Amino acid sequence: MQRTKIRERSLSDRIFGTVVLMLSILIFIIIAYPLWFVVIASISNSNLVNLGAVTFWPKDIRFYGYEMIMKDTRIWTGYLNTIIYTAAGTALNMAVTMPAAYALSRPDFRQRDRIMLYFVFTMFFSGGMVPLYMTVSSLGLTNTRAILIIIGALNVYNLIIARTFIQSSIPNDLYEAASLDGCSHIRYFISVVLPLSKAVISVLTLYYAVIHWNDFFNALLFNSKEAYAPLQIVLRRILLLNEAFSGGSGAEGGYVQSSADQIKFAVIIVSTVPILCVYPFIQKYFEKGVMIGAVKG
Amino acid sequence: MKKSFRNHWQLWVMLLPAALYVLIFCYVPMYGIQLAFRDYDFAKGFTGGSFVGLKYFKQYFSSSMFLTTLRNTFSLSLTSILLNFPAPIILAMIINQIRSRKWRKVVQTTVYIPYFISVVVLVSMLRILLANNSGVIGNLLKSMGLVSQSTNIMGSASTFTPVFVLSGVWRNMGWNSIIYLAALSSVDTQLYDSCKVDGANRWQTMIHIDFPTIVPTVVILLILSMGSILDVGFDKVYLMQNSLNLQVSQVISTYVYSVGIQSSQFSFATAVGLFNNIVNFIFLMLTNFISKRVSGTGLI
Amino acid sequence: MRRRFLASLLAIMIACTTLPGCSSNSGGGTESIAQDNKTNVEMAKNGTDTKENNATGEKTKLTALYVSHSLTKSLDEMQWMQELEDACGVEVEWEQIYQDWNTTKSTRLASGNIPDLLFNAVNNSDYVTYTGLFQDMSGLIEDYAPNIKTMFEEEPDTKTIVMNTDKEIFGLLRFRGKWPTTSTAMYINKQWLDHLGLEIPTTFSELEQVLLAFKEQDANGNGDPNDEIPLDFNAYGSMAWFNGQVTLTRLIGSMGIQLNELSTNGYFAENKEVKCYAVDERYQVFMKYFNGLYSQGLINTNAITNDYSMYQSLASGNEAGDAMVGFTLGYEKADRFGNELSKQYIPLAPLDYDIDCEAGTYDTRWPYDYDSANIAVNLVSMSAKCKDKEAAMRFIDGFYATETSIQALFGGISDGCVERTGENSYKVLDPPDVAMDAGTWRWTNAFAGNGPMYIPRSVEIEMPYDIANAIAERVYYKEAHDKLSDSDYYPQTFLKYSTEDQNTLSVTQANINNIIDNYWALWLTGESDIDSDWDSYVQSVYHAGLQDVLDIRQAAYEEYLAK
Repeated sequence: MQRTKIRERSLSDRIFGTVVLMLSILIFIIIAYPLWFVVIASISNSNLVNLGAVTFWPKDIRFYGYEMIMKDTRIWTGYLNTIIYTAAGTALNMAVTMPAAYALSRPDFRQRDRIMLYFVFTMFFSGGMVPLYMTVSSLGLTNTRAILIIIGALNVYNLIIARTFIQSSIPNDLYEAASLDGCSHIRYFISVVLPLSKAVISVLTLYYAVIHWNDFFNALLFNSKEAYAPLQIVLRRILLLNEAFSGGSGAEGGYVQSSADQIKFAVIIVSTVPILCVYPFIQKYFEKGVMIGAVKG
Repeated sequence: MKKSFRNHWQLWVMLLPAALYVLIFCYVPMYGIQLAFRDYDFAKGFTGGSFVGLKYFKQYFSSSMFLTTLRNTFSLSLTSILLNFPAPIILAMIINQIRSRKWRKVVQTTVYIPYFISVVVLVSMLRILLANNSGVIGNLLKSMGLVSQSTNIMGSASTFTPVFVLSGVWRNMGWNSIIYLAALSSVDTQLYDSCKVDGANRWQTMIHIDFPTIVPTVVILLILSMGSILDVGFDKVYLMQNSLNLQVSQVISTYVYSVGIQSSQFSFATAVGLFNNIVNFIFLMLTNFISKRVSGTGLI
Repeated sequence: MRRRFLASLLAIMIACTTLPGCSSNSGGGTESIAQDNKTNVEMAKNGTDTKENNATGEKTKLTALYVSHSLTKSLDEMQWMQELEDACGVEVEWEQIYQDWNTTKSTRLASGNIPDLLFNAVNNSDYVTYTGLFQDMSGLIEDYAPNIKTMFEEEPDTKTIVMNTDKEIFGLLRFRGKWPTTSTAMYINKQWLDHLGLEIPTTFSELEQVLLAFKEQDANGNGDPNDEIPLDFNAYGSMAWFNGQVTLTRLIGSMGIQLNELSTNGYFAENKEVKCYAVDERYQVFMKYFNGLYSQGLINTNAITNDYSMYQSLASGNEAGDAMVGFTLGYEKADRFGNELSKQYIPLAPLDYDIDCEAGTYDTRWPYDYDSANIAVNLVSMSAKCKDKEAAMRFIDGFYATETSIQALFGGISDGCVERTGENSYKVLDPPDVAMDAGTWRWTNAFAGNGPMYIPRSVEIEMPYDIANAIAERVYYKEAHDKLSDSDYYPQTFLKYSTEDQNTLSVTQANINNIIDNYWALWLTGESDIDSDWDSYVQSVYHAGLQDVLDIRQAAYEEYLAK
């Protein structure tokens, strides 16, 4: 009896495993092919790309896109600025979000629902771009590096994720035990909650970092100083070169036009490779078993 | 009693930075909302224009595009939520179940890369890959019979929503699966071991352990996405819009943009924006209410 | 807020009268210099005593914003700009905006946070929306702008165009006078015609025959009879079907409808009455013809969804270098087809419509874009809060000196872009890189189409080859253009409206566009039948408010005619 059961288990498990493998391969191909397309399109003759002649291998290889991008010295200041904004901004984000999420997760904190509403309300109602700009302007923060670090300090969506995580993954028994020993909220937060929240901290750090990395709208709105421009602003200008001549401006720009498409795809690669390198470091926090040993009994 | 009171002030301190930020950058600028009820008068500032009540709302509701744009926005949004929602969950579960550590790492790292492709490039790629006759993927779909031979994939009202939504799923599912993977990683491995001893196979383990772990996250994220029901992003729709699919691709955000092209129409745009926000908020509250009734967890 | 505003205005006025160096005015030199050959150095000296400038040693500082083309290099690197600033005794801090100005414009203007001068940044509706933000320059021009006054004398139209009903001038224009009479030309592949033994088509029915031949036979001679695209056009973007440069509606002149610029939104004038051709019966006939072509497979099936770069790629030939497109629209041959293939194509004169009638039933016209190509308004405006309005005005005026204008258009003499060949003649030099086209070069080095300037008709300029070629090609359209008369000339972009009218126009036009911008595509591809749709279509357009729009436009048009 026991033996048949084991054999059946491994058969259904093997089928399961094969299905998982097949699905994962299918998903991989669906995702990877267009990415591969971006890579080969960034070094191919853009006319051929447009005609659909470039499918699996690059054709008529030229590096015009990368040349245009690298030649622009603003790229390097852009990179530097973006790194500053991302690092400082994300640190600020986490310092603001995690304590607030903890506070909102305490079941005995009676006002927490009302405070949650205070935050959630702002996800829906906003005064618009102009009043925000005028507020920032009256604080004297336009055209400063500071505003690009401060703006978005709290993302309510992320706050909710953090709160949910703390609520559902960290059992309240831990707090009961700690407070019996005379532990205050702040001490408990720092010495117990944070170490156990590695998974959500790494996710939110990634989320916030990517928001900062990809942001161009805030920089567009609040900053007109070229020296403070982040990467995305610089790249967007290069990206728009391609559109600059479309329809209506006459016999102009044929030279740039024909190779400008390459720039589009090269821009993607230049702007995302750095942030892609961050993920593998964060991945290890997603390994199973992060919670082992936290709860005894 | 005394101890808990003493402790609570610490919670307020922890909330302070977040609350302050939101006060300055979200609540203070909210005076702009009243522009929906006033004529815009530059000389008198945002609060000085003459009060006109619901004039701009009336202009919006009575315009011939009101119902069309509302319908299109809802349709695009609901379809997006319907498809965008389960995809990352299923993906996370699949990745979590991959036995080979190496392959799992490869898949996990690849699937989130599409998120970084900007919308401009994404639409450009769609146009090339789905073009009539010359598009590689378009031809593939047609040869597999998924799309009829005569359909112009990028230029047809019937294919607009599928292309829009599916390309969005392609782009977002890897990124959105990260949060689920993180949640799954917090499952105690002892639970898996005890399940095995009880004779459960992998499928059963997945259903009984993995799935319940991520349910709270799923519920919250579902409520949140219902709260942005009318927020179909401007950029992607605007780029994918063309004269052939205009009947389904004209959404609220692109409509407001087209009104504001000739001259800034602050009041009109604010009125429409306010209407949007109210509808979103109602949906959020509704979903939150239902979820609290059904599963006990809710957002607020 | 109003009180603060008035107080600061007062303060500025007082300050201006006490500023050294800028307020001196040697009025005597004005008239004599106006007759001389106008170099920017001389014009700037006029009115500004250089001795006084040197005494104070200081240049007036101005801030300026320029909404620039993405290719344009930094203004601080342009020699001619430096020379202009020096000559006017100013130092300008430039803010060059390359992208997304439309997004941030309303924020900057609404918050009042704008620099002294704005180049290429605002339009007519902004002066009305933001009353009090901009400076009325009419008085300043009288006192400090001799070059602009000369332009007003030599080309009276320019004065009418920039003035509003209250005779205020908020924005100044460019007048470059040398651009071709139309932005669009038709091209047909002569080599294919010869290869198939066909005549050059002169009517719509002949065109159809030729396109059929292109499709069915091996026109490009490469052995494959199926790879030719007989007709390709492009209408990518919102309302591009009506407003684009290479869209099929550019041929609507063959139905007797005279257009005189690109962004018409379908509006034109006939017998001094403003009409919309989107609801005109001739448009119905026109669309039926092209639907016929499409259903026979003579039009590129990707035409509607392709963007401009794909449109250009197709015309530059396939991998083997064969031409793929038979009949298409463009600005200039080399730009459209590349240097190699352009040899195969020739421009085509306007075609007569003769499908269900005799050729000549309709008075064949061709869009006349001379004015919109040569004149553009609102290229420079001044903030009402500018502290030194005289200096700002003189700086603006410096642009309108002939030599500065030419440099603003093509690039600086000191930068190696233009050469002075005589007292009143110049030559535009080719770009140093042989592969680069002249258009890219001038957009990099100058304001090109985005700058205020006045190039008198009397100046001789040896134009760069792309424009020279384009002008040569326009010979084919001269006959059609000669038919233009006062009763069908409707310069829409120069007309002005009140705030209330702006609001009506904006909202109503958006609603109308949603209908007309959808149906043309459905009719062209045959997805919907034009005959059965027509009546309800016209009705829905009127229901969206077309009559209101026509009334407002008619009023503004008559106001213009009265001037």
